[in-house]
Amino acid sequence: METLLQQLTNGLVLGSLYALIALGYTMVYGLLQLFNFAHGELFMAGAYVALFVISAFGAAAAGPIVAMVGVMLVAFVAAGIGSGLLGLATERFAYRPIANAPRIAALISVLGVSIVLQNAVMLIAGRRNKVFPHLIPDGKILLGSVQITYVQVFIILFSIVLMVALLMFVNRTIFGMSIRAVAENRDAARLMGVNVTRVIQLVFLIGPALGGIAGVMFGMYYGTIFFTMGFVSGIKAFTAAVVGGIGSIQGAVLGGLMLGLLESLGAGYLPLITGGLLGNEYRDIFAFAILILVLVFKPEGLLGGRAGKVKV
Amino acid sequence: MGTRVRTYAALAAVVALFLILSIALAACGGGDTTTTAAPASGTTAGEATTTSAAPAGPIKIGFSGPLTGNGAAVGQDYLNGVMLYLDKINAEGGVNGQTIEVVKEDDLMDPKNSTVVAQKLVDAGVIAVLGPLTSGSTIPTLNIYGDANIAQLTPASNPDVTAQGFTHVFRVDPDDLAQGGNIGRYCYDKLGAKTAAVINDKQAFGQGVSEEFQKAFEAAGGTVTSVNGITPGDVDFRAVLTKIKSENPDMVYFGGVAQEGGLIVKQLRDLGMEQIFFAPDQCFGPEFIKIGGDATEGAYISYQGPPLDSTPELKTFLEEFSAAYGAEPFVGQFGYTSAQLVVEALKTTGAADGAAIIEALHSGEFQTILGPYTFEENGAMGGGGTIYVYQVKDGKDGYLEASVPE
Amino acid sequence: MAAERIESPPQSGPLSRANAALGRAAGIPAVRYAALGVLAALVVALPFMAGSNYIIRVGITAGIYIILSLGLNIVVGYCGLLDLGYVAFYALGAYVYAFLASPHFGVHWPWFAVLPISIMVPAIFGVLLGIPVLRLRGDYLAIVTLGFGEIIRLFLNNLDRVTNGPKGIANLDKVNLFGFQFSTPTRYYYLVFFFVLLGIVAIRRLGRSRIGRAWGAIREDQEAAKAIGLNTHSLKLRAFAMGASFAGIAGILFAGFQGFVSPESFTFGESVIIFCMITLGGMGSIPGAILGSIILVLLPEVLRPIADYRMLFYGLLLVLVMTQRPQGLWPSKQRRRELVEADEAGREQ
Repeated sequence: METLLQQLTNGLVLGSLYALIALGYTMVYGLLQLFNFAHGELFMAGAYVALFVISAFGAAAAGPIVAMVGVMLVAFVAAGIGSGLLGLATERFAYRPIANAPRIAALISVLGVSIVLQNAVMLIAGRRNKVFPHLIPDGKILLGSVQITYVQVFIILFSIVLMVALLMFVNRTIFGMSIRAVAENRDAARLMGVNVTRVIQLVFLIGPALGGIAGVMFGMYYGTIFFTMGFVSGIKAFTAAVVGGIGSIQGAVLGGLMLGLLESLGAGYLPLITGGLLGNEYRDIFAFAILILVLVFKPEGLLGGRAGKVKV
Repeated sequence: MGTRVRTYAALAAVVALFLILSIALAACGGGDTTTTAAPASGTTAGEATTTSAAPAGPIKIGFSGPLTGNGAAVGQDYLNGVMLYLDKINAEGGVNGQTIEVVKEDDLMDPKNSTVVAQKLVDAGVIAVLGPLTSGSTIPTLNIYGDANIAQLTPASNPDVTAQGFTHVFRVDPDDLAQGGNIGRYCYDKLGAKTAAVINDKQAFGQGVSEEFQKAFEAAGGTVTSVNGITPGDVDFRAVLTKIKSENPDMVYFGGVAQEGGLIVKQLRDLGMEQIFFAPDQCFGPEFIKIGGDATEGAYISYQGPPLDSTPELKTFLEEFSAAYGAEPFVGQFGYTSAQLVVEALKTTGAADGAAIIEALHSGEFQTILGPYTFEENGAMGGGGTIYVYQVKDGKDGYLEASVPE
Repeated sequence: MAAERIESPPQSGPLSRANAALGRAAGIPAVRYAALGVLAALVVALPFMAGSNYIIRVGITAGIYIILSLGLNIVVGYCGLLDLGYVAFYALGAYVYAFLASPHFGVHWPWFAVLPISIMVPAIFGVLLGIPVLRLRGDYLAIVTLGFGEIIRLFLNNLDRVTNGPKGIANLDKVNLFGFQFSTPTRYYYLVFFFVLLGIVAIRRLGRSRIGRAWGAIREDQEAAKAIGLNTHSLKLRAFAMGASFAGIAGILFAGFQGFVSPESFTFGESVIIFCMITLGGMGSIPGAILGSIILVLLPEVLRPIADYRMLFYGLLLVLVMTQRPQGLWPSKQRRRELVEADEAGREQ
């Protein structure tokens, strides 16, 4: 029983990370019906930018709580700005020139961007893993025999805060309204005076920024970052977004949490279920299989309905 | 209908013509520098064909290893060891009056490239090749070098490398059988672990060494509670570790590389698991400790080489290497040793001839900085080789003891 | 949505002038035939001009990639389906040979008997995958096929009792056709190029046939194609299956050549490379696919000193080609006609 609870806890944290990354995918997709391949790499790049910035702070990262919190905030801001700017650059150079061309062109273009980003980071920062500071004091809470580290608690809580903030932004602000308007009907929005180009840029700023912040959390949680961390996480997060209902923010959250839980439980119990035939190494296949199943049987996803619009 | 039949007939005619022409052209023998009367699949090295007889010029030795890409650090370090020794030899006037020229090729640890490189080196007329460095990239090159009768010295540790029936290949370090097997016994006898959970990364090396560990551990009397696979590139192992926690083994053996090893040991301790953690040579060195952080304290690592300050020769080597390249070696000593072996073999035969070197390596005992070397008939290290056990203390690999094969 | 075409974005400057010049040169029949003639002569004579086996091996690699590009071209270029998991079919073709002609299972079928199986198994997988999946929209299809490619690779790597896992299967039988051994690189070179030729002929016929035109209709506007009564699903399946068979042929040729297969040869990166080849050369264009393949096989050999930058370069290539010259270096006649018309129509407004 404690094992199950532990697996669930692990899954919840993993799911929160997926959910955060998925938010970026779902926003861009909701607006442009474009799967931004580069998003996974933007998530990775944000972590590197943050690391670069906070390495200037050296010992403060491990010092008194106040200093730690300060460094952590700096990390988040740096990652958000870094990924956000890269997202804007992607929109400007890889999307806008072919915005009216068939989708296949844009997809290949952002695929190219993802490869460029990944290799650029590799060449600049090196192939080896980089150590990422915890930014949160080490320590555990014991609930029965379930071990939860402070970092894990932080990730769950902060993710909730971010998601709520995003929802409020999309629903309660003018900017959010303009995003929803453009997602609903681009021409009508233009006729109503909405600057569509700005809106697209906004989404290409916010989505990747969230991804970058998720990248910092990844670094805090695993203690290390590496230039290939965006690839598989990216696909899984996209799976999460699709499973939850692409274009829907709650869908991304739900999908992310579900995927995290399924993966943890699956990895833990797969040998048991299959009598030892399939082990933990098939975990990724799990995610892909779920993706294919959902897309085939319920392409709108769990919370979907109006496929492909940013909605509440 | 009629047009279609005619078109197909025309097509068939063209095809037939092309086939006949190409076979005729090929049969007249074109463009091959080394040909083989190819034996059926998987037999021993073919008959001796044109080997580069001793040219008047320099002796050519080839190097095949990753110089760019993921393995670049390892490949470069190995090559540095090789060059350190060969530059010294050349400065002293070479071997048998001839200087040595190293033909360096980058194979990116990838079988697709290492086979192309192998062909290149054979065409270049090398008499011996150092490398490739990984088992996956070495195995496909065996018949290329074998057919050309070129002595091949490699650190590739998968037992399959010497199990193909070739006689030209030599392994310069203990193989996975030795490492895993040796450590399996060690953990049961010396560390007192009675139960073990095994994790491996489903790659050639990691899986090979952990399978040998399991065999030896069970043979000594231990029980393996579960064998678990991970995928390289994964970061979150809590699920599989939680499952292992419920099995409550005395130790966890991980067959894999530093990146995953560091993450696993970290998450292991995060979950409150206090088992002994043991990892093979890929986790030796600062990378594992960097990634795993404080959690690596107390972890055991096995390695094929003794500490670099344990003998006067090694100390000298360490000084020279650090002076020449500005950093301490981590695999360079094996490169150095493999170069030593080739040169010593050359001195023994007096002839710069691939077949002669192979003969000499099989029949002699050679002194190197890593100790005396002999080779079995299949090219494995004579006697299996000693494995050295380290334990991480204060953020560094601290030497514990040598574990000699039975 | 109205019919969309891949258009060159209007622009001025040296890039667009080079664009135009390329287009004009490729349009003159004399230039094209001369180029083709020279190329053909070079191809046939390569093994004799080559000073070493190394060059011939590069030639064989180029040939295999040409077959792969031709196959992917059917799926992406003709039919407009974004398949990012194409490498899976390649892997299947190679592993079929490894299963049926090596010491692994102790089965040693002759090459000509394995060949049809290497063609059919990927095709069957293609159809099986396609049935549920080809109903999906472009981007979903891309991800799903990517996932499929990864799944196949993961299974090949993890099912070690069947596939020998990450160690791969070695000592594959040498290719032997009725007693004639393809044991030297030169002979193998001609074998590969025989299939390249076959592939080109097959694709040309396909492109001009009814099914080829039907594929074009689907690529241009799927809804309209359905409206005029085309069974789009069945047509897409056929494109998928054909593309997969090409990959299967490439797979068996690769396996026979390398004598060894392992999962690490069949990563997503490979799919990307093949994609680059047809994108660079020109999607839907046979000479384009060939040109793209040759360039992207030779380039890494030539650029070995800066091998680290290779993938970065490929990524940039994708972005630049799609944004600046989406029709590629040597677009198909059909595309050029479409573009010229589109350009003129645009200018009249």
